[in-house]
Amino acid sequence: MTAGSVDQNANAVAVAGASANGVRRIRVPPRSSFYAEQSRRRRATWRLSFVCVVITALLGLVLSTILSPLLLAIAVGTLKAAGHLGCPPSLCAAATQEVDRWVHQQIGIFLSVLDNWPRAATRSQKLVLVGDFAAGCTLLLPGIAAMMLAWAALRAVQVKAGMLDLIATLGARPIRPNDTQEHRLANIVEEISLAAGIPTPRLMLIDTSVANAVAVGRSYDTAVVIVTRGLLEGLDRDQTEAVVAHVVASIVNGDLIVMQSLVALFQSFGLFHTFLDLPLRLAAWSALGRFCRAFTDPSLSPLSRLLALQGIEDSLEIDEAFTPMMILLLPLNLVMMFQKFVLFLWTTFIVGWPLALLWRARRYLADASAVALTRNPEALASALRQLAPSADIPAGGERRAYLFLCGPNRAGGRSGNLHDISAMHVSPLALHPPLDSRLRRLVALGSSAAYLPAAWLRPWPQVAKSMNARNVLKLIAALPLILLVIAILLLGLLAAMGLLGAIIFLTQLTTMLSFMLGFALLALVLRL
Amino acid sequence: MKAPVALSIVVVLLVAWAYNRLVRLRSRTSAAWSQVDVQLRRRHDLIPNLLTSVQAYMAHERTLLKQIAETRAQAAALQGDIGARARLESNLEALLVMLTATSQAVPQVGADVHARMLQEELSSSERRIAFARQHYNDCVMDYNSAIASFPTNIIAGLCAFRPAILFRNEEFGAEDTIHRTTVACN
Repeated sequence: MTAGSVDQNANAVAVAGASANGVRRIRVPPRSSFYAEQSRRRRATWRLSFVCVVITALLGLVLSTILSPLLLAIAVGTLKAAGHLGCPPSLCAAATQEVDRWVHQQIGIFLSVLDNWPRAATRSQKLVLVGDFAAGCTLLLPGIAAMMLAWAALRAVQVKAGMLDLIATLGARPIRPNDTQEHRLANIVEEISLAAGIPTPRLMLIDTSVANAVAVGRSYDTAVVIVTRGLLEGLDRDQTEAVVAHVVASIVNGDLIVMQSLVALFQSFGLFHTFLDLPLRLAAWSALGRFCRAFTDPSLSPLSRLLALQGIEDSLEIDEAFTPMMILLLPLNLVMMFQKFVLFLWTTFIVGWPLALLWRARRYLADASAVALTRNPEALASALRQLAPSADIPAGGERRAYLFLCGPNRAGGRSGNLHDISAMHVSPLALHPPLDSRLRRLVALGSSAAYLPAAWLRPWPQVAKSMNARNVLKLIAALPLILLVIAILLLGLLAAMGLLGAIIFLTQLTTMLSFMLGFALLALVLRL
Repeated sequence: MKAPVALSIVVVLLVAWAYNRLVRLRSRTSAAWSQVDVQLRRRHDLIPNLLTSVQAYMAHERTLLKQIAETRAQAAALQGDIGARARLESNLEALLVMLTATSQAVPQVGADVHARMLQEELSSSERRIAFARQHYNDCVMDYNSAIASFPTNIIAGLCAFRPAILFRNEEFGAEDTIHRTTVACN
C-alpha cells in the first residue's frame, strides 16, 4: 500500500490503494514547530516532577514517624553519655530536660487535639484544631530534615558517578582511527556538538550487532556518547546524525540529572531503612560502609559508586532469610516490614505512573531537540522506523534500559528488584514511548507521513450507517454485552479504590505502629 | 516599614538576574561567532592536503586547483574585513563544489582510500560550518528576543545591549560589523 499525496493544510490523507472496506482516510497530526513541542514537554516535566515530589513527600512523612523519635532518642542518648564521660553534667542535664519538655509539649498538643475534636462545634474551631495539629507535627521535623540531607548526599554521589559505570558494564571501547565508518561517526558527533554549542563529548563503541545508542555523563565536559556497531552499519549518514542528535540532546537537556534526582528520592528511603536494619541484618553494615566511602572518597570509580547505591536500594527489599536478631527484636522487625511493604505499594502503584509519564515526556523532548539540532525530522523518523521493531538493549545495560534510544520490544521486566525503575516495561508504566506516538510527533514536526505504516494510522470514524431493521436487531442483541462491559468496568473501579483504601489503611497502621514504637524507645532513653 | 524594604530587595535581585541573563546570552553569541570562525579556518587548513591528494588524478583540472589554492590563500590572509571575507569564502565554497563534482567523475579518486577520507573531511567541514552558523543564529535569536521582551528590555536599553545580526543566505552580511554589541554600563 503506497502512501497518497499529503495535503498539508487539511488533517486527512487519502490512501491511494483501496482496501477491502473501500478507501480508508488516515488522520495526520497538525503541523507544529519544534520550539512549541519543546516548551510543551518542558512544562509537562515540571508538572509531573511536582506530582512525584508531592507523593514522595507523603511517603517521607510516613517514614519520619519512626525516624524523628529515633533521631531524638539518639540525640538524648549522646547527651546523657557525654554527661557521664566528660562534659559538664549541668549542661547535658539542661539540654536533656529541654528536649524532654519539647517532646511532651508536642505530644500534649496532639492529645489535646484528639480530646477537643469531638467537642469542636463550629468550622472555625475545627480549623484552629487543625492548625494546632500541624504545629504539633513539627515533631516530625528532625526526620524530614534528615531525609532531605540524605537526598542531597545520595544525589551528589549519583551525579558524581554520572552513570559512567555503564561504560564498564557495557564493555565500550574507544573508536579505531583507521576505520572509515567510525571516523565518520566521530565527525558526526563533532558536528552535532557544534550545533548544540557544547564541547565535543567522548565517543565509545560497543561491538555488538544490536542497534542502540546512549549518552552518559554528569555534565557537558564529562559526557560520553556510546553507540553500537550494529547501529553504525545499519543506518546511513543522515539517520546516524539524527540518532546522535537525540542522544546529545538528552545530555544537553539534563535528562540524567532529572532521573538521578528522582531515583535519589527512593534511595533516601533505602538509606534510612539501611540504618534501621543495622541491628537486624549484617549486609546493612557493609552497604552503609560502602556508601560512606562513596560519599567521602573523590577518586572512587563510578562502578564502585553504583555498587554502593545498589546495596542501599537492596535494603528496601523484604528479606526472606530470618536472622536471630530479627526474632529478638520482633516489634522493630514487624514495623520495618510493614513500612517496606507500604513503600513498595506506593512506589509501584502510585508513583510508578507519573514517573513513567515524566520519563516519556523527556524522550519526546529529546526527539524534538534532535529535530532542533539537525533541522531534519525525516532522518530521525526513518531511523526510528528502521531500528525500533528489532530493538534490544546491549548486554550489561538492562538496569539502565530507560536511557537508551529505543526500548526492547518485549513485555515484562527483567531484573527481580521490585524497586528497579527499569523493571517497569509494561505500559502504562513503560519507560519508552510507543513507536507510533514518536513517529506521529515527528510527522507533526515536519517529517513525511510516509513513515507511518498504513496499519498504524488511525482511521476516521465511519459514517453512521442507516438504522434499518437488521442494525436495530444487532444493537438489541449487543445490549447484554454492553451491560456486562459496564459492570466489569465498575467492578474494576471499586477494586482500584479498594486497593487505594487498602494502601491508605496500611499507611495509617504503619504510621501509628511506628509512632508508638518510636516514642516507646524515646521514653526509654529519656527515663534511663 | 518592612514591605518597601523587602520589595526593593526583590527588585534589585530581579534586575541583577536580568542583567546577568543578558550578559550570558551575549557571551554565548560571541562564542558561537568565534566557533564559526574556527570552522572556516579549519577548512582553510584542510584544503592543501586535499589538493595534493587529487593532483595525481586531476592533472587536466589544473586551473581549477590553482584557483582554489589562490582563493584559499587570500581568505586565510584576510583578517578584518568581513564583507571581503564573506565574498572569498563563498567563492571558495563554489570552487570546492565544482572540484567535488568533477572528482566524482574520475574513477581513480573513488578507489583511493586517502582521497575518500579527505572528501569525507571536506564534506564534514562544510556541515560543521553550516551547524556552527545554525547555532550562531539560534543564539542571536535568543539574545535578540531577550533584549526585546518586556522586563529585560528596560535593562537592555539602560546598559546599551544592542541586538546582534543573524546570518542570512550564504554571505556573512552587508554591514561592516556583523556582530555589534557593546556595553556602556560601567
